Parts: sequence; structure tokens; C-alpha cells
Amino acid sequence: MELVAEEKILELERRIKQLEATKKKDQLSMVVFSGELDKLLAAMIIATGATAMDMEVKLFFTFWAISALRDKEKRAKKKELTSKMFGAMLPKGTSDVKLSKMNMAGAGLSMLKSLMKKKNVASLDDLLKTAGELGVEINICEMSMDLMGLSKDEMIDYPDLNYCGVGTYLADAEESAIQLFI
Amino acid sequence: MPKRMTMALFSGSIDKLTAAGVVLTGAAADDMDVDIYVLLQGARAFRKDVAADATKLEMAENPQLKQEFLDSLKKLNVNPWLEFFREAKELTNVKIHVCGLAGKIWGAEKMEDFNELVDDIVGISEYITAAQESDVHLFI
Amino acid sequence: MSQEELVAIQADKVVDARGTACPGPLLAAKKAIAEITSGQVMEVLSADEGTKKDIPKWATKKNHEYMGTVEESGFFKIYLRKA
Repeated sequence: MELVAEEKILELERRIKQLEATKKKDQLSMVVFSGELDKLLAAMIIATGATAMDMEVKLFFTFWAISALRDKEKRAKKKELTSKMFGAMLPKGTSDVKLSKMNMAGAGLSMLKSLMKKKNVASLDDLLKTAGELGVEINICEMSMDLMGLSKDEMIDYPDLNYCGVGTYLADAEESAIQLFI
Repeated sequence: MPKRMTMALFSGSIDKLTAAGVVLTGAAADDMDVDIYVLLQGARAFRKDVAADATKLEMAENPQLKQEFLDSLKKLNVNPWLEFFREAKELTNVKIHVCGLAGKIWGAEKMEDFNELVDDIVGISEYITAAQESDVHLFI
Repeated sequence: MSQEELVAIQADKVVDARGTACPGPLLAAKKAIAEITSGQVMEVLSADEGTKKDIPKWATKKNHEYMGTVEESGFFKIYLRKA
């Protein structure tokens, strides 16, 4: 009789372990690929909104999105010529990123910015600051940094800023309840 | 049981395909089972003639920087986008399904109209089912 | 493991992935670990900073033991013991 009970407990423990291994965390993982203002705004609104819902949020910045994390005031120390050229052609920070459509040589952009101000919508800068305060983790794709010729010393000061590769992203994504690519 | 990834590849732009390729090889390193559903713009990229020539593809963002982008990839020894897909297929269980309708839109109806990496031509319901059952689901 | 202990390790397999960017080193590590037996040690050389975080995370997930990382000039060595 006792043996049966013990076996049952072992079986249950095994099942719980199995379930725990597949259970998703209350976590949002998002690839932020786009370097366009409207998409970045959407990404950061979702990210800060998710932390408000008590979710853990992990952002993985790749390709064009990294430009938005450059600090306008900082200068990169030393770069090769090609990196320097590519870097110079990319936006430098949140105030420099453009709209995806309806940019209309900047007219659409300034219209959106003034509307946002009037309607009290947070700017990209504010959203980044809030995200930092709420503990949103930002991981930057190292390969994209090299690709775009950007260097770590020109990035913004952000509380939880890390550099990693795709392995880290996937490990995070697998255990997240929600995965997005923006 | 291996983890499953479903990727809806809507985009046919060279920068997004490269990003998708990196994610894919990451999944391969992790021995995940991957199902890729190639949708609208993606189907063009997998058409035989287009897949063979990266210059036929546009950039999703910063079109003016296409040449710098391609040069930089080469300098860093990063694979052309299709090679990521090839390598991932060698390493893990990756299936590439092309949406039949999307193929037709670009004038590619039969298997021989697509690159040899494509496994089959499917309807949309397979994608929905796969997405529901997977551990990681991305729309690129 | 201390740096001295790591440096003293004679790896059973050395993988030089210094010429590649992400995800090259990760893939090289995956391929190479299939070629050693359980308990053997592999050393991965990489110059890609992201790899430093990536490979330990991948190894832990695959139940291999991440032993540590040693910095060299311009690259680093990651030590893993196969599960």
C-alpha cells in the first residue's frame, strides 16, 4: 500500500517537473528591428504597458532600431572609415528617427510630434526613460552593432542595457508567453 | 520533446530576411523544430530567379543604404540570407512552406518555380494550426 | 572556477570561431560539441562580444557545464564541459 503511494508521488513529481519545463513565464519578448519612429513608439508603448500589467519585458534591439539608442551628445572614440561612413548616414538618437510612411519630407513627422505633444502622448525619449524606471531589459544585438558601424560608447545611459546575440534572444523568447517582432 | 518555432515570413526585404535567417540559425543551434510559412512578399524572395540574385530584393528600411548594408555584411563574414536558411535546414528539422496564393501572385505555381529549399506549397490553415501549437511564434 | 584553473585546462577540442560574427560562434559550438563525448571539455575562441553571453546561456539550456571565460587580447576563450 505504502509503495503504491510512493510511486504515485514520484509520478506526480515527474509530471510537475515536465509541466514546469514547458510552462511559460508571464513575460514579453520582443525583437525591435525597425528604426522608424511610429514603429518604435508602438514597441515602447507595448513594452511599458506590459510592465504595468506586471509582465517581465525583454527587448532585443537589432538592425535599424539600434540607431534610436544612440546618444546625440556622445562621440564614438575610434572607428574604421567604412564604419564611420555607415554610422554617419544612420539616425543619431530618438530625435533623429523618421516615420515609416507619410514622412513627406518631414512634414508628416513634425505634424505627428506636435499632435503627440498636444494630446499628451509620451515622446520616444519619455517612453525609454519610463521603460528604464520600470525595469524593462534592453538587449542589443552585437552583430548589428558591428554591421552598422556603431560602438558601445555612443549608446544612451540606460539602467538595464546588455549586449548579446541571437542565442540569448531565443532562450528568452522560448519562455515568454508573448513574442513579437516589430 | 524539441521546442517548436513557427515563423510567418511575410517580408521579402533583404534586411528582414537576414534578421529572420539569424533567428533561424539560433533556433537550429537549439535543436528546435521550425516551420516557416512564407507569405506574400516572402514568396517572391523564394522564387527561383529572385532567390538566386540578392540584388533583386529591396530593403525594408533605409533603401538608400542598400550597398553599404551588403558591403558591411560581406566584411563581417555574415552569410547571404539564403545561406542561413540552408545551414539551418542542415542542422535541424526546418520545413519551408510557401503560401499557394502568394506564389500565384508572383507567377510561381509549381514546386519547380521555387528555390530547392522550399518543402511544399500550402494553404493558410496549416499556418494557423502550427502557430497555435508552437513555443515561439514570430511574424516577420 | 578561477582564471588560473581555466587557463590550465587542456581542452579535448578547440573551436576557433574568431572569423565569424553572430550566430557563427554559436553554430560552430553546436557542431563541435557533437564530436566530443560526455565529460570532455571544449574551448571556443571568439571575438564576437555577444557570444560571451550567448554561449553560456545556450550551454546551460542544453545541460552542458559552462566552466568560465578567459579574456585574451582581442578575443576570448569559453570553456564548456559536455553533459
